[in-house]
Amino acid sequence: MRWIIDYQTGVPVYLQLMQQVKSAVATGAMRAGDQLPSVRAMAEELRVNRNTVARAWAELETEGVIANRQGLGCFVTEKVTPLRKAVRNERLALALDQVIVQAHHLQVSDDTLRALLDERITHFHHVRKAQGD
Amino acid sequence: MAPVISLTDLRIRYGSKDAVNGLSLQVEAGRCHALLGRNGAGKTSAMRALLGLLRPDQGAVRLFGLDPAKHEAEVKSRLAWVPDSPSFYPWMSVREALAYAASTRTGWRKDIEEHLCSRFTLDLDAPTSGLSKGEKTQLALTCAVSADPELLVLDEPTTGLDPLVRRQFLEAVIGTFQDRQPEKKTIFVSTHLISEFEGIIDDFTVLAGGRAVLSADADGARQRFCRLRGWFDETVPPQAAIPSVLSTKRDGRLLELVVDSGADETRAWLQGAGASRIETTALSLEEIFVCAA
Amino acid sequence: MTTLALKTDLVFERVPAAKLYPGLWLLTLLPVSALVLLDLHAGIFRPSIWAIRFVPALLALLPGAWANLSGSVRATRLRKELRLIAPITLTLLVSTSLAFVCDAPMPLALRFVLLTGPAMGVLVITAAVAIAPWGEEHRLGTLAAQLLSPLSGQLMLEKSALAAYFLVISSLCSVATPFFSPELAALSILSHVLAILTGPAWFFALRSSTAALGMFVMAPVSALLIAPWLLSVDLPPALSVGLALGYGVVMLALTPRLLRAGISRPPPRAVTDGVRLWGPSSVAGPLQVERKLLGSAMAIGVLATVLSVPGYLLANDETREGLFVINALMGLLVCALTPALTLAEPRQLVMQELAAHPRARVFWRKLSSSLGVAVIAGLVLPSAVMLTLSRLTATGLAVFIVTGLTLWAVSFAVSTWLEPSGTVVATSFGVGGLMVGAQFAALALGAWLLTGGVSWLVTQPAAGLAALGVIGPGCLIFAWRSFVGLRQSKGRDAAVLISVSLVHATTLGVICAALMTRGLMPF
Repeated sequence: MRWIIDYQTGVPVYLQLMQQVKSAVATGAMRAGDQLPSVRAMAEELRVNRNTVARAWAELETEGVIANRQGLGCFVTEKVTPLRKAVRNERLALALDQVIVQAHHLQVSDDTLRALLDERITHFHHVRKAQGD
Repeated sequence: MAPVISLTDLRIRYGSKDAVNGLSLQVEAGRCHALLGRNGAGKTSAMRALLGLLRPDQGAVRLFGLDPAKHEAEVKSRLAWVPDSPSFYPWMSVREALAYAASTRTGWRKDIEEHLCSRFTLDLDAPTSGLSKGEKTQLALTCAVSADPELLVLDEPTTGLDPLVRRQFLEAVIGTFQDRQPEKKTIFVSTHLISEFEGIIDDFTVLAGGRAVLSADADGARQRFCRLRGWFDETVPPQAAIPSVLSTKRDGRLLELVVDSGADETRAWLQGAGASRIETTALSLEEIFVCAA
Repeated sequence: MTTLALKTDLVFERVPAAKLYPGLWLLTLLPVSALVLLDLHAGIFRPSIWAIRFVPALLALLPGAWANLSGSVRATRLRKELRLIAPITLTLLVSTSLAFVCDAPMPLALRFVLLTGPAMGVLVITAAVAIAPWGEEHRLGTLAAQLLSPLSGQLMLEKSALAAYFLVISSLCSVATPFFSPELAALSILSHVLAILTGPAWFFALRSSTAALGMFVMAPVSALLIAPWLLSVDLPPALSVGLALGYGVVMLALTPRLLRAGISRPPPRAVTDGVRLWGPSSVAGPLQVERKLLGSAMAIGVLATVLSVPGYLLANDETREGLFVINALMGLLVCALTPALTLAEPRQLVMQELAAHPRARVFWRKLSSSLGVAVIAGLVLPSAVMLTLSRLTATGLAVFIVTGLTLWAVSFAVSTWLEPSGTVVATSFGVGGLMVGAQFAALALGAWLLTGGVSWLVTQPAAGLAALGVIGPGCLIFAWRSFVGLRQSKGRDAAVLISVSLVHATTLGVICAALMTRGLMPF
């Protein structure tokens, strides 16, 4: 697994870390039961503050993506999110809003955007399948 | 809990010149705070006042909520310092230098000392006079971290070191200093190599002319300061009348604007002015520093 | 003593502790032991007297012995402290122990050579020892770490206590020294006490090189100014002797620092601006500082010399003769030291100067400024004083001037050769040991010359002038070639330095002998 922090995006470092774990889990690069790097190893490798990694891991735990087994480390959980459906939808809506705003600025029409979304979903499943094999 | 570092209206004068002119800042436990500034901005003076090596003409320094002048021993036992050019007694070997450093500290951690020595592959029998600058910095960091402090003060620690040593230095700070109770391990660093420290800096203060011209948390600042690039099909419009624009650059059909917390407004303006494509990127801390200082 | 202090300073920095301590002990015990042998040889050995004579040496060794035998953390710190101030302490102890044993039966000339050290040493070294624990830390750049230690208060206390301990031993020696009159012994004690009391304060209060200069002048001079009232001694002679000695103090104390700043390595960046002080980083600063230094040296020299005259007129015979000796020695020291003062700048500054101006022009500027100071402060003024003393013959004057110019030329040649070439000298124990050995050899040679060999030379001043005719231009050609021609030859470091030591000490011996054979010396 290769972790990268990009300071040019303006996205807070802990969010970038969360994002990368989530996408790794979603694409199947990491599966249930896989162990995440320790906070210390992760912080050293990326040369970021340990508290930043600790925060990312803690938030992921809250969202149910990972579980902290005392003394053993953090592991990817089965796909059971503890968040209620309404909360899940709300979070997703926020993320989509950003995409829509971006599309607006880039003068991408709504239809093109929809088509693009379909295309990316197909691509995602394709990647997942490839990872699974 | 009281902040680990609290400077209030700090003022230091050399003759008629103000080196530090009303600096106030606070650092909470577990945070990494960077003091940024050009040469002569007052960083060194502020650092010395913080360490008690210089008496401020005005203002208060509090460390761990204590007055360092009154609780000298306690404050000093909880902080350690790595200077920009560490010095050792030239006749001592690395082992003796460590033993000597241990004799001047309370609560020395032999296990940390051994761990760092092997991590840096320091030759314990080598004379300190023959160490390279990188090795001296590694030894200084070993001395500082082995004292098991809560506050680690780094004064331009990696200036003049090669990239590998700089990397090892940072990894040791993150890995070993912050190893136990990271929420209590505070770092106060003054540096020019901002990109190197970008990941560990939580908060920073930009010093110019002895004053804090910008004090922010790193994530917040990266969201606040943006570079917008608009490409135009025809002519680039004249100067944008937006107060948040810090700088403007034109290059052919490209207009580049650096803004402080007015990204949306500026984007709207670019659109209104007929930009065919707009790109937004956050500024790195180094770029933010250049804008602010 | 100056060269000794310089060399011990250079040598000891890199010697591991295991080698240093036995050497230190040996050097401290050596003079005493040598004199025991002399007593035995002369058949006047009395155990009780020698037991007393060994006491200071043994007291001096006590902390070292404990620090090496004990395994406690305090012993670790004490080892460091002892090591830190070893060169200066050694100089103190050697000088005081030499003074202490001077009533032993020995050739008159050797006694004279041995006495000049302690006479200067009492004031120079006490001031230096009191400040050395901090000054050395500052020079090494390790002071800030001490101040940031949670045990800083204790560390500072330990430093003061150790310096005070050595000063107490030294002042004990002063009292017991047969050479000192009761008044001089009292002055010496007073200067020790003042040095102990004010050393750390001077260190932490003063921040510039000029102030550092002031410190070295002020500590002993103030002692000498206060003393007359306390002791009901006549003020003017005490004042003049004080100023003359203060001048010597500055020269002696600064020169090792300046020399090493030039020849060893660039000083570490001062890490404690708040306590900026003596040490190469402050004294061997930019060119302005160099000029200021030379100017200060000269001003003090002029003042001391001018005030010596009324001092002499009012003084008793003892003071008069003391003034005579001091003027002669100071004059020669100024001649020997000004080239180093002129050239001992941090190397990058020399490089800046050389980048901006032709080497030849820089060479002549260095030459003229150092020669100017040497001639005025080292030759003309002391000569005037010595002539006022009305016992200096034309021959004596000629020998004095010839010697002074020779010393200046040799010193200039060495300084130009060392400074711009960036040669690192005497970093090995072997070379350093040779230099210290050469120093002692030179002392012996000087003594031999004094007792006999030189009488021939002195009766023929033409020979002295001929010597200048050969050595002077030879040195200048050498200096020109090394400075302007950029010649480097590291292999010759040791040889050159040893021969310079020999030349210095021998010429010093020659001039003293010359003065003595003319009946001008008090011994």
